[in-house]
Amino acid sequence: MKREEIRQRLKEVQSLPTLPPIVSKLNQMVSDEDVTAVKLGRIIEKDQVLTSKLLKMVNSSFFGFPQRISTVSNAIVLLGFNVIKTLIVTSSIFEVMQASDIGLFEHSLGCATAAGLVAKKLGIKNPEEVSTAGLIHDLGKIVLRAEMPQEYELVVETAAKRQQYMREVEQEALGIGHGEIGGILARQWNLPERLVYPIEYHHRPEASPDYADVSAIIHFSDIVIRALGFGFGGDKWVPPLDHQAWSRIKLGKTQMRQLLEELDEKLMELQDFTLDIQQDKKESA
Amino acid sequence: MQRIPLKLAQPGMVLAKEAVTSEGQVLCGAGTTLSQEILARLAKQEVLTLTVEGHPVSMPGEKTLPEKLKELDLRFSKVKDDPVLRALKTLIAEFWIIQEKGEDFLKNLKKGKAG
Amino acid sequence: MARIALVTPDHFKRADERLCLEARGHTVVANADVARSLEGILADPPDLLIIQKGLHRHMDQEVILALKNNLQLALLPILLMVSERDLAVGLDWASYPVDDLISEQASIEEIITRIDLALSRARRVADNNPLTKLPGNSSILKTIQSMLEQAEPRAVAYVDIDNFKPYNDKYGFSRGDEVIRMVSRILVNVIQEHAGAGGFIGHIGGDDFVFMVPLEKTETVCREVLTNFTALIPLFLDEEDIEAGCFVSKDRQGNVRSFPLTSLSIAVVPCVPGHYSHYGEVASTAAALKKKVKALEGSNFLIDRRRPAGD
Repeated sequence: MKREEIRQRLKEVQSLPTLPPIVSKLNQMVSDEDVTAVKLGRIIEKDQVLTSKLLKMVNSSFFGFPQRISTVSNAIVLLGFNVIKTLIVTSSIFEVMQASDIGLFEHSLGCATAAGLVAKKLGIKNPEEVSTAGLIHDLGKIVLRAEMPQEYELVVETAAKRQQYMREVEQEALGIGHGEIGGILARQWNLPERLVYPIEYHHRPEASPDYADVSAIIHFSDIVIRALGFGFGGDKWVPPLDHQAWSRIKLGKTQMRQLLEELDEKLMELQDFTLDIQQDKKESA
Repeated sequence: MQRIPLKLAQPGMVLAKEAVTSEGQVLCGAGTTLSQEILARLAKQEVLTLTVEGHPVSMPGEKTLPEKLKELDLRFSKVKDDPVLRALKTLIAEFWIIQEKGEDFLKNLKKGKAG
Repeated sequence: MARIALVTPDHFKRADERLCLEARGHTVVANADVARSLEGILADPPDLLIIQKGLHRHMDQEVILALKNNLQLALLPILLMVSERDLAVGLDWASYPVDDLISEQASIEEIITRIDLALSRARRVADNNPLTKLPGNSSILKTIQSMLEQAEPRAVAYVDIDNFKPYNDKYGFSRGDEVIRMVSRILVNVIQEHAGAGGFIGHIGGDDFVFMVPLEKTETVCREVLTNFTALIPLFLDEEDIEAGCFVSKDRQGNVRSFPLTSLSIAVVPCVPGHYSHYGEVASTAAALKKKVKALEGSNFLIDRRRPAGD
């Protein structure tokens, strides 16, 4: 498939499939009278597709905040309970996502957690926003898998067979990488540049035209999460580190140890969460 | 100590860390011996996980330390020459060793290497 | 001309029906995938919606209720497409709060006529503010007057943005419009959550809003509105202004001076049955109170305590 062909296809992407167990959990919550928008938000911010949908909606022309809203909690205040409820109800229509997809979901969630912790350590003003960027940094992979499943499978298989990075195979086979694909979509959806650039440049953070610090954090968080072997990002290798980006972060040994400790605690919680929703899925099946 | 989902907790297990709700509210302290009543109360307060003494539950897919270290090596195989990433790898390995075997084990291990 | 959304997977498949609508200058939005078209309706609402009854998993009911419960979209005309059988059996209108219905058997002429009628009725009824889509002054007057004649104690609250004019001068109108839209979204969502159908929000104009909630909800609603406003307003200010804690612009006389960061003021008038007989009295009590609350630094609300409840 040609690069231009893919760019054309992206123009027609309206929505993306999400994890059915998360949606069914949210569906249960929605029918509970006591549930608040804030409680729903805590689940939504664990799902990269629902989060990007929420951001797409709040930055759309009807709600009227183009390129301004970058976090789930702010989106929820502006969209309100009813809109979020309908978003959940309509999302439940997309079914059938394989169990293997949980790997990419965990990778994204792990990256969001790491990014939030690193942002706090560096004293970045809005760590929640950096965490959101981490959550949706692999938007491109989700689009590829949903819209061009055959190509996606081929890329993953080839990467495993040839022991190559996924993005190398993407460049060769499709002429475009998942970073750029995600960036195109995020821009099309009017997401703020503070999210678009980190998505687009997480593999080459120094090319980021702005918010290079956020791009650097996402780049590094991706590395740490792969290093720990949490989730599955399409291939199993730790990607090369951009040293210029690293110079923006430069955590010392003590800080790194602290980060690993905090991360361990949070990742265990996340694993409980993913186990929990997988169990719910089995029970409901 | 081991962290387990509440669903797998049994009466008789002893808490190694306090049981906390997702809102951060502490429900019972470390050292508490779990009973059927306590477990029911924790479930009602939406506590999802507990940290208990010992290693009472074998979780599915749980890996041994040597397995974990071997896979760590493999994941870093494409970036062996990067000094920063090499340091990161060492830190992760050390972190896991301490978690499983304790601080002293690592110290002895390092001494052994030096000597 | 209007944007018409069709969620009628089993009908309007024939090109000539769409063509008839488009020939009359309407834009037709339709998607074969029901879930996708519903998502589109929420993200970018049309001027009129035609939805088929009996969609998969009660999606039709869910969407109709969601739209009608949305204070900003409640006036969007919805036409329900029903079968002959529905017409024979009858429908539960409480669970289908739609504006009109169309039979599946209807001719294209009838459909077009019903659409025209629904659109013109919507235009007649609405005095909605074009920016926020909230009801305007004559609706506000009517609603509050009818509330004063009812038995339940309510509170009427006047909301306005402090130093909005200098904000507009410095940041420009389009950013100013965003702030107004932000305030309206916060009000709609907080009041909807706490008061549901017992609440009302109107847009007086510019940066002035009015809302009404059951008396016992007043403080919760005011607190939450101010908390949400404080969380969001930094997104609409420049970084250097946030750091400085103020911004420089022109005052009403055209003098350049520094203004405190944009904040929100709410003046609340409790209305216990028998206190006020006319909207004008409520408004003048509010005007005096508003001066007091605006004189305070930052975002605040004040409740009129001069006449204790029930005296």
